[in-house]
Amino acid sequence: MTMNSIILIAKVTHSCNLRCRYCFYTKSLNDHFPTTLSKEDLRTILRKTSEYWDKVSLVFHGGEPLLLPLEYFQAIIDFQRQLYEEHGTEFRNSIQTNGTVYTNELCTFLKNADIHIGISLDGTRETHDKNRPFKDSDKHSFDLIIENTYKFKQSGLNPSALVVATKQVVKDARSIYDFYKTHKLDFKINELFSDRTEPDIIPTPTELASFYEKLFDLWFYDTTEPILRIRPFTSMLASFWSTKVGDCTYRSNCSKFMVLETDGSIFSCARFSYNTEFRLGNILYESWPKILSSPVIDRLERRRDNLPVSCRKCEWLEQCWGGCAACALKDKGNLFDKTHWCASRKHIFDHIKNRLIYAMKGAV
Amino acid sequence: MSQLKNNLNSNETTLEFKFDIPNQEVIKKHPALKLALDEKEEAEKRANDFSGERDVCSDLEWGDYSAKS
Repeated sequence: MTMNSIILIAKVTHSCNLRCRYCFYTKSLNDHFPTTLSKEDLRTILRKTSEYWDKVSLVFHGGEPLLLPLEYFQAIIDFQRQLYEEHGTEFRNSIQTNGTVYTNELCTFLKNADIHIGISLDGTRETHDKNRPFKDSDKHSFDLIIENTYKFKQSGLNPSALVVATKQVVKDARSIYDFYKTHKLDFKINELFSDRTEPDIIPTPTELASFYEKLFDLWFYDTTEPILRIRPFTSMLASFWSTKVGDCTYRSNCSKFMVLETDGSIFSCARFSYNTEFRLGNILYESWPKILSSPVIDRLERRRDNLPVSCRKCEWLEQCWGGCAACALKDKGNLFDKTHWCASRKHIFDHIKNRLIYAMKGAV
Repeated sequence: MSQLKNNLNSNETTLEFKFDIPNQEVIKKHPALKLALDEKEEAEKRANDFSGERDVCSDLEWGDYSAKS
């Protein structure tokens, strides 16, 4: 049976009520795109998408998507149901939010529409509040986010967390692990671009490696419920038994999803949105086959065969592939280079391999 | 798109370092391994389900998409 599927990350708005110190959506980048992807344009795009793809995973992203009125999302979900009736297209939805917006109505809607939520939460109050203040007041956001996270959980939703590996976060693996364990939140760690001018935000590769190692051990030797799902550790471990696993920054190409910008532009990742060279096309005016035949895709795919010799000789090539292509371009100015985090990744893969050797021998 | 598919399929390489699937005794000592093995199973199932010519992707997990960092 031949099926085809797409993950579409929809930048539904560039408005945001937080001003995270590491956000790559600078004012000039935000000004480059319309503030909001209109409901009408998104409907047009979804219709076009449903005529080409059998399964669509739609991620509402921003900015802060929940700054849009609830009616926006209700209208889109209703339209998806209509498209399912017309074309049989299956939709799955999720939303990436900063967790500052909550109403009972919203919660009921998310639950009824089976929309998964990911909440951006950088660990404890101390680590989170260092970098994620409110835009207008400069006030801390942690307390409100954790309160809303509990409300989502109490209503039966099961949010997960995204954690950015800032210098503050990587300082104390024990606090971070205990925090998420206490709050029963699965989480994923994201590596930063390294082109930050603020030296107090970006960890060194050694600091990140040490954090990875300590956090991994806390998790790997924990036998008490709940066992958290921590990415990328689950997929790093799984990669010892399968080549099918791996988060996008551990894959040999950038074909895991497509990003829809507010003007209809399609990129292979929002991390390329600042550079029109990497625009695949505009889905409002072009077809999916045209967009998918963009030379940008070939350019990105050539990276796997053009990584530096140090990558090609590396034991972990097939589990790392030089890291995120967009990071390499920003960090090193060269798409075909490896990222700033090479040493951190080598260290954690070595560490996991050693832990597995001991575990498989029956030793603790 | 066939090039994209070919490239995706060319990921089917053999890792130099592989372990046997851990047994229940090992998993009991390291329950995190169960999550990793579940992830492996799910990823392989999805890869088989979505083997069409036009696949851009084969799976979506929470948090797949990076924060704006």
